[in-house]
Amino acid sequence: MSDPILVLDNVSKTFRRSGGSPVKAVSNVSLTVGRGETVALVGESGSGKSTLGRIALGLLVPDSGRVVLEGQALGELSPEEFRRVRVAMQPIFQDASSSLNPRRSARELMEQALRGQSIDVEAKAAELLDRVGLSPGRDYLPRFPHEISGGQRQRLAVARALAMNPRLIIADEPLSGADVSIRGQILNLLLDIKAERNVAYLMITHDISIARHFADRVAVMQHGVIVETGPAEAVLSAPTHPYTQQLVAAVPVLEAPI
Amino acid sequence: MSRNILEIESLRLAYRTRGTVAYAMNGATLHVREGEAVGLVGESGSGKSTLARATLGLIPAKIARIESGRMAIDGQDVTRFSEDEWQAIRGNPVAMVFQDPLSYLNPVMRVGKQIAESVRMHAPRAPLEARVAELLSLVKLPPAAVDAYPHELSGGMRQRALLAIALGCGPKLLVADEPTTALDVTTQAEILALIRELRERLGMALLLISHDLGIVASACDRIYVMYAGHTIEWGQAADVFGKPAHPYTVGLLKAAQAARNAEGRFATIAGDPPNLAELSPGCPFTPRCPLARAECSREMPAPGPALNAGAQEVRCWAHRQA
Amino acid sequence: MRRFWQRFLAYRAGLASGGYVALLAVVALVTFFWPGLDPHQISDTAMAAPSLDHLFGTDELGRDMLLGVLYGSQVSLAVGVSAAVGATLLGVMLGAAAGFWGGWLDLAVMRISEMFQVVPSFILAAVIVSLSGTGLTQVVAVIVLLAWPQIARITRGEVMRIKQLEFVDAVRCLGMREWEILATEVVPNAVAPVLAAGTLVVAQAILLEASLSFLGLSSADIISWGRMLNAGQRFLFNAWWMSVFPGLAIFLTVLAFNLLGDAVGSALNPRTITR
Repeated sequence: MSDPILVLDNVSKTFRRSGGSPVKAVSNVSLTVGRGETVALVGESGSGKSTLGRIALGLLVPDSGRVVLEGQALGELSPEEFRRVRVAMQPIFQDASSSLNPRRSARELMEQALRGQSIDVEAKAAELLDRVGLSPGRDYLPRFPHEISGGQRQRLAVARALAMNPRLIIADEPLSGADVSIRGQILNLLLDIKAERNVAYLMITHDISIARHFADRVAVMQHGVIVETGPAEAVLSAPTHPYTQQLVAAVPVLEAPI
Repeated sequence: MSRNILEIESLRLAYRTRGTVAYAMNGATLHVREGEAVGLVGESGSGKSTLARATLGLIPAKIARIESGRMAIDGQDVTRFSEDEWQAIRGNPVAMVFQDPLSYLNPVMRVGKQIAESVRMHAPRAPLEARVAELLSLVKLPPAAVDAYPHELSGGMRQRALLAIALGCGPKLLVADEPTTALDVTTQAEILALIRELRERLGMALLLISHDLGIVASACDRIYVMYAGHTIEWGQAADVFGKPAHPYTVGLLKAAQAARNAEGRFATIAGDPPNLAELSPGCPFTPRCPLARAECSREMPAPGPALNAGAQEVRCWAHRQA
Repeated sequence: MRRFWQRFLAYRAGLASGGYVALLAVVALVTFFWPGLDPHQISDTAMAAPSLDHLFGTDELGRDMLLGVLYGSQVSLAVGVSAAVGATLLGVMLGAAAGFWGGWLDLAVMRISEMFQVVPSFILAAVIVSLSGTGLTQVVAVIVLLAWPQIARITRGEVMRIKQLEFVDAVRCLGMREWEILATEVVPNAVAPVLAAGTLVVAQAILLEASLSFLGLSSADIISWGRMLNAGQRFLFNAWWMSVFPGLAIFLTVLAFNLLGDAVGSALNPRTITR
């Protein structure tokens, strides 16, 4: 790949538990996300996918290996440079109730995210809220997270992620808290954003169907190791690795002829 | 003709707080026959969890009251049951397993002891150790699990332990409220297979409640779909999932498959889940319904056969003859 | 904010205690600014029982007890509130830092706070007084040193819980500095139980000041309820009014602040059912 946005190069992370044996959460994992590409990181609990996500976001320092964002190795930057560089990638977390400061209104949350940009912050904030479907944006500015519905909170989280004009969005189980019937709303929103801004996604999920239909490529993780990668549709409809086969087979099939 | 082990008729259950009333169950109707597996499908605000808890009398009268309708378990009318009367029937004939086994198991008591508690309460003269061992093997837990504490077991094993406790009561009806939601996909499949096997061996009826259509489709014979406290569609699984009638069911199925249409868009239902405290009269799905018409915001239709679908029943104005 | 007041006012004890504290504050302010009245005024009618002339009686020097009790409110409130504010500031700073960064900082703060919790309060007071004399500042200093550990512990616990929430990571990804995150994102969310504990410190401070004065560890020309109790103990059987009225004042004020702390605590807790 010529110019990837994110390269995880041989990354490892071990956690020491008090009174127990050390747990190797991530073992020599290498993963690349190309510009404008959507990669799904699939695994069950304990696979290490969330840990890998946090390492990619720079929230966790790996024991070995490098995280390279837009050609710059995060571990080699000064704290000042690191803070400047990291904003090119933004997170979306699973639970919008805990990923938004409950004491901040939508306006304050957006202002925080738009800091340092010399623009009309209020107008830009309203515009972003409109963009994610919280219309009219102006009316949503004074609202607090607990005053809006779960789906709307997740949209607000997306709006915040967009404020920094990121080139990469890392989403950790962004749909798990939402009702099935409205997941499509969030997914369609993410698709639109990708079309407009050519944003790359690293989508961490345990849901095979979402990975299959939303992502370009998929990486399957088990016990801290990537066991299979490849084009999402191909890998998840005809998996080659036994673990992937097991995962795909375990999903209850909904035989609806629609 | 086997009789109904669970009968819920037009039940209305209201949560009343200062100034607001929310009908968690608003005329819901549901039957489970002996030995049958019935699935109840719904999302947030559907009232399905309230229904689950109501079947075991777990909703204190101070918090919510049954305002009209009827509920009967194993032939007994439980609508006006007192706490003592509920205690007598909890476990046998009706038992429950919950979503998060870690919260529902006593963390400081060994698993074997918790199962023994359940056995002792419902079969006081049974040989305790033997019965516990029997239950453990029924749920495919190793005999060593008897001495384990809940936190020492994996998620799947804990759910099996919870099943063993429920079975220790010898129930005729098992109510399972999102039993696999907290589990991994692979473990989920194992637990569902186990539940199916247990049903066949023990002839137990099952009320499986979930937001996951795939699980319900694979494990149940008949399905009920709930929205905002109403049961809006019900029938054989093949009919409800194969030829869905109610626009909500149709939308839900499409969304569940995460499939994309010709323009590459994901199927979804517009709008937000219902807020039970702020419902307008008529059918609660109206604001989000692609087939909404004038009658829908006036009145909730009575049940009737589905048009151009299977043999299921549905509450929808679009399925009424013009 | 509105919901806070709704819950607070619904808790009747909180309402009553809030009213009492407000009244006390008014009394303290009025007596501070009112010219003309002098509680130090010695008269000939010493040790007089309560009567229409002297509603609370007089003490051994003929000073009016009612005036004494009213003026004593100044000291109690001043000491109570400033000690609580000081202990809260110190406790929140140290507790938040310890909870957020952990490691050796956490260990150090915890061990030091334990030292202060273990030391008998009067020994500490006596040491400080002997080093720098009696006076209200010294009394406040002693109370701050004794009360900050409990505030620090509560803050530390809350901070440790909140720092794991995802919104903290989210602002990290926006490039916010660590100390800024602690000050602007974490601590404001940790404040609720700390406020409740802070009002309890006021009650503790008033009691402690009274005890220290009672033991004679504070200056003789300050009028405080504790001082009045000190004076009254010798005449407990001849002149009961010299002990009962200041004692009652202490009791009611401490009770009021305790109830206030309860009310603030439940008002800030969204899960409390109001009575």
